[in-house]
Amino acid sequence: MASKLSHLFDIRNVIGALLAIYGVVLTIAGFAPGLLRERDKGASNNPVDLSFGTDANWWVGLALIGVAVAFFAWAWLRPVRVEETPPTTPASP
Amino acid sequence: MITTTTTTLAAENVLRLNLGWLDYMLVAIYFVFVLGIGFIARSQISTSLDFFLSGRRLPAWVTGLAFISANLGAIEIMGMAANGAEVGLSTMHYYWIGAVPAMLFLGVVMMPFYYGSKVRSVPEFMRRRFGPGAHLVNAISFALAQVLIAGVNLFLLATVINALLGWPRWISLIVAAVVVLSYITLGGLSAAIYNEVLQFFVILAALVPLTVFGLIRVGGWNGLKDKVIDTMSDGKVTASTHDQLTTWPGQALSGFDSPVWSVIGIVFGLGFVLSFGYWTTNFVEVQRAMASNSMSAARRSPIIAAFPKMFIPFVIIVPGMIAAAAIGDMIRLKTSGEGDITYNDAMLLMVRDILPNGLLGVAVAGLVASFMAGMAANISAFNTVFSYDIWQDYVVKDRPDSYYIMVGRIATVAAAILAIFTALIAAGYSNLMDYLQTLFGFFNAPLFATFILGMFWKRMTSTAGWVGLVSGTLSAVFVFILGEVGVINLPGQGVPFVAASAAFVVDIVVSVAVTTVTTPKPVAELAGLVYSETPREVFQDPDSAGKAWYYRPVPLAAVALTLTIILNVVFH
Repeated sequence: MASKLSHLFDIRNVIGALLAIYGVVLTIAGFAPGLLRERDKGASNNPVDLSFGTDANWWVGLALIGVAVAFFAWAWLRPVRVEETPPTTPASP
Repeated sequence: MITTTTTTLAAENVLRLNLGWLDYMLVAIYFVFVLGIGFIARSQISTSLDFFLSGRRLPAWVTGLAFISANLGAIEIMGMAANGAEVGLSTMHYYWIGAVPAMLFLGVVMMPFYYGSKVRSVPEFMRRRFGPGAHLVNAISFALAQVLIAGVNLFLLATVINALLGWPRWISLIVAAVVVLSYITLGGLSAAIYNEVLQFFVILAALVPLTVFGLIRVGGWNGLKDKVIDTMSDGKVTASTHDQLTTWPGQALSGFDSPVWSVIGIVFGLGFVLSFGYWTTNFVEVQRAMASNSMSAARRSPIIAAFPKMFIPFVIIVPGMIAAAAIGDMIRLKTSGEGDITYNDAMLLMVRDILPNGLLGVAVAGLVASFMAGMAANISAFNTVFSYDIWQDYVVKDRPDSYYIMVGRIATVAAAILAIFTALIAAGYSNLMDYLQTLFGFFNAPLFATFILGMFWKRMTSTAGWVGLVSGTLSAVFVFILGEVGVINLPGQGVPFVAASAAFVVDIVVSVAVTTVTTPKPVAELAGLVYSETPREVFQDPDSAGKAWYYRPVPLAAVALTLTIILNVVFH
């Protein structure tokens, strides 16, 4: 039980979970731009138009899902070994 | 990091982002994760070592990423993007001459002393090597500096949230303080470290797309080169286009007229003294490596951190340069030296102009995360030094371990409340805070001199330890004042470089002089603290013998060093 929990809460799975949620949300937002309100760009005096449309969301979204999968795979292939013996505490000076 | 941060941002509304519900949702999800980590980490705490040093059981990649992430606060992100906009590629020196060699040195040379001697903090090493004099100077100045810097982080967070979202400052001030407080009191250092690792990936998820999209829009690297313009101030060119596109000799950064002195200033002042001082003696950083699970992992933490550290400037400094080449307000600032914005706004302007709603939420989460991580790093280092080095050593000794966990938790609450007050002071006297921050930056240079001398010269005495430290620090302050009143006139970052170098040299000279007239500690007490008295086994890692090169500190450091040299050559 303890090892199940510590596996689930392995920091790699936590990172994977956050990036996966971000990836899915961004991908949906990218493919369904109606969900977002269009940003009013306001008057811009930029010589180069820098802004990207909502397509940028799903590009990044898919990339994040990819990174998340890599983290899940890493945690799954190389699970943490839970040591039963606590590490030796250093002698107090 | 070691930049002089100014707390000024653009006037209201210029930076205002229109966040939609989706953006807020992404920020909210992040907060759920941050607090969740605090609760998970709580279950791992049973001794004070768990609370203050994560029980020394974290793997090297976690402590390595936390090592850079603790430093990758929003102060650094906004400050370095500002430098990128103003002086261009020479800002890379902060990473390639500054941080990376120092981090490798920490891993290869100094970590065996820190981890091997089983000290629980950098000041504790000071006490074992030099006794209470140097220890008190170090512990108190460090604790003070951490509370101050935590307050500056908090103030900047409130300022940025106010500029971006329009929330009143006091709301973000209190919300951020409460969040940081909750996860550190719950989970101690582990919670801080896990959140730092998480923050690292969130901030990259915002910075990498920002850089890539920005580069696409300006026509790639060559397009950016064509669009870079001279930086003007008072009608004079302070950084020409050529200066901004080359790293050496970096006169725009150092402020020296002579290219030779500029190179010397950057290598010795920024590289050797300032950066080695910061990265090798700052407990905020060293604490992360100390939390790892073996000597090999402790030594590899800063070395592993060096790899991302050498590439991170590409997603911080380059966006700053793009902002200066493609954003109208920034171009006006660069050509006339005036406008509604400051260089510190470069990164925020990029976020405003490039990212659509959705990614905007990721960027805001990343920025808020990096401010909070910066503050959490200061507070988690503060509570350790306060509890072990001040409370346990001098105030209430010999209590059961659980007592010191409680002291740590109370110190955390106190530090967070103090940070709110410092933030309020910063709001009223931002110049004062800038000065203090610069001054605290100088504490590291003499500290490094004292450490390095003490680690390799067994004769060095306890008196020499604290006298050297104090006189080194005073000489840095003296040079800084000379710079402020105009006796030394260097426009760029030259004054901090000279001040740090002076502190280093004075510290060494005074320490040697004092040592010759005082009695050294008995040799028997120096095992593990001085190189010649330490058993050689400490420096060899039995658990990494026979493993692949990337599991061994020294070969890994050699690879990192080679890569840094290549980067320096490619972008000279």
